[in-house]
Amino acid sequence: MLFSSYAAPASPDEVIALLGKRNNRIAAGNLWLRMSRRTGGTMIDLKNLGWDQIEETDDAYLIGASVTLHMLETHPGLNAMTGNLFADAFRAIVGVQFRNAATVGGSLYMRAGFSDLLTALLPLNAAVLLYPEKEIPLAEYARLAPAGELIRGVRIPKQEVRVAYRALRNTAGSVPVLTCAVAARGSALYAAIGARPMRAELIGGPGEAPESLAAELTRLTYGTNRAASEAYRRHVAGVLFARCAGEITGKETQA
Amino acid sequence: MNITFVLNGKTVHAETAPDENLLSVLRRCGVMSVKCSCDTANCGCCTVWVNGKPTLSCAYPAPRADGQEITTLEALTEEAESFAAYMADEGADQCGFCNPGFVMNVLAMKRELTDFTEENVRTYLAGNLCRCTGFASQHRAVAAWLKNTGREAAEV
Repeated sequence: MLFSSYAAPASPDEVIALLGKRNNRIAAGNLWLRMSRRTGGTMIDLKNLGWDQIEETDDAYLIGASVTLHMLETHPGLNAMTGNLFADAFRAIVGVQFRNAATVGGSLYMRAGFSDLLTALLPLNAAVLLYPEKEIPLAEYARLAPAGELIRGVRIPKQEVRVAYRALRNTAGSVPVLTCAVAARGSALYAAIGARPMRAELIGGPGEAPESLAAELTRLTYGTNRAASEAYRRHVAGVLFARCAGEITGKETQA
Repeated sequence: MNITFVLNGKTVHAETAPDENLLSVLRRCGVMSVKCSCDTANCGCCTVWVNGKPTLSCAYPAPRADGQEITTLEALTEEAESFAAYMADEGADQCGFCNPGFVMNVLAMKRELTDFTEENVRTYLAGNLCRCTGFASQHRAVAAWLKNTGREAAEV
């Protein structure tokens, strides 16, 4: 038995109260949770909170925690702003049925190293919205350990951006061996490199040149696991970065 | 606990454990087209529509289905049979275990996509694994069926 009871609270305060008990968990997409070894406690379902919408304001897109990956990848406004970034980043995540279940909040809370979502969001200057009201820059949030916090959503600022995404998978549909997103905003250039296999990290800033960013990403920490070696990942990071940078600047850079 | 949902157009009351998945409840309701194959939310054999969207019923918490509209292959017999004829023509129907989930996703794709390029179709159907066919015959069947039902890649 995974859980001994189920609750779908009508208010976030009730969710917070339930999270006060150690064994209770939020079930988001329930894709990883269902395979976990755990017993007892309450499965908390956020379905009655209305956090499954993408709201457009004057200066941002507010993505509810229960918005699915498929909603994000098919949103016309986000696709227009980012040149189909999320469609590019998610198309190899298992299948549409999986992405109709996997949620933005669930993925970000896990902070998985292989997260295509985390890698794609980082260079967009996104922020995580918590309940009670608190906003944390995503780059900062990604470094924190999961601590039972309640994610309400994500804010993606509206921006003029050119962004490209590449990931390498050993097998179609499996988790990536390396992920790379590169974004140019004004004179600033950013890159997020994930699945190293550590969580994605954001580098770059105003006035950054592709060549200096390419050098910087070789200095990130990479690791070895069953899927790939540290040296291979470091090499692939340079290749994927060069392809992304080439796509957004229209010229090749040295990897 | 008790849940009430709409199954293939009819209101159904069912008993479920708090941590049960929708797939198990559906099979207890006599819906035998949904199957658990991989048990890791990867293969697509358990695909049903929740409020019209293709979803893995092996991972969908059954209590969450309360108040939702669930559609399975049993409600789409006529359309499924028309597509199945194309599968048979291409020899794409081998052991048949994955067929119901695959057909549910093909029919969902037909409703959702607007541009049926080969890449879009392959991406949409990537979450349905088949151990027999190698997918080529399935994709030939899908392409022929789409063409004959007026769904093709948009003009470039």
